[in-house]
Amino acid sequence: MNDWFTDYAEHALRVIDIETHWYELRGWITKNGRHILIGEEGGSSGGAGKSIDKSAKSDIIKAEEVNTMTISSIDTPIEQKHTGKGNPNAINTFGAELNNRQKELLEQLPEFDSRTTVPKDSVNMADLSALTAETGHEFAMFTKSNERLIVRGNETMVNIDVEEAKKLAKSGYKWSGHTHPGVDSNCLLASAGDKAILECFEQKTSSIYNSKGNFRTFERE
Amino acid sequence: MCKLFDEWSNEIEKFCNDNNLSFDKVKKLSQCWGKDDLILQYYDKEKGKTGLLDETPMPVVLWIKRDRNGELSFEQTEHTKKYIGKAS
Repeated sequence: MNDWFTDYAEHALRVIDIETHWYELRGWITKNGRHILIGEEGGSSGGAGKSIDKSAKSDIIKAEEVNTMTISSIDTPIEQKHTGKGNPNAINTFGAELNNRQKELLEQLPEFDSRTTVPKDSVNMADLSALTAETGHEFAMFTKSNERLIVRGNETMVNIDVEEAKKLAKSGYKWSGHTHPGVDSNCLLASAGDKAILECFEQKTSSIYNSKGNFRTFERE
Repeated sequence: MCKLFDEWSNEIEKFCNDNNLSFDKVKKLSQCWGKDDLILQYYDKEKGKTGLLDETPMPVVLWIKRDRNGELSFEQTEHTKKYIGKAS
């Protein structure tokens, strides 16, 4: 009797949890462009390829489409939301894990001055913050067209001097930003080196992210 | 460049006048900003030649913060008078 009641209570709480997070879940889906479930016009990118209610604007899921959804399509983002996986602040504060995409990226950057080029939509500055939270090292990111060049530094520097920055700018790269290890506001202060590198590029500003995912912007002269 | 600087310009100028600091010098400082703060630093080009190999922060001359009520607070540092004092 007790077991039945416990199971029922847990199930009920789970249902409430799913319902409570439903609108957030939909937001998450839209932001990340995958695990698309409902109400998303023309959504076919990436992920699990779930059913989409394209005809209805009412945001109501058709019954037959509910049947085609797996429970994992609902569980995955909620699970990630609660575990903080891949979130720089959670990694830094609670020791949460990198997400799989970040782990793959870090595998390509095993040591100081490791470099890798990846598709633009596969990494953003928040991911570099997560890598910094995980390793305690700086990372810098440069973007050209649809690719990003990521360079791993160490606790205090990245091996990019003015000459190399000029070469990167000449070959069409923009400086997307870089990270400074740490969590307080002082680690988000720009250095003279940061300014000198920014002046090698045509852009007017760049950003510094810390290990929590916070950032500040600085400008060129 | 920084919208916060433009937005807070009148208050910054008033602070400078009240504290014998040069607003003209403030305008030439390097600006680094977050959501609710603006840090004004002194940029020495000679010290930036090594790029990201030397990440020593530039001297902070003035740190301006906006609190929850929208009020600004100004933090002076040991570099304030040296770089933006009217006498210097």
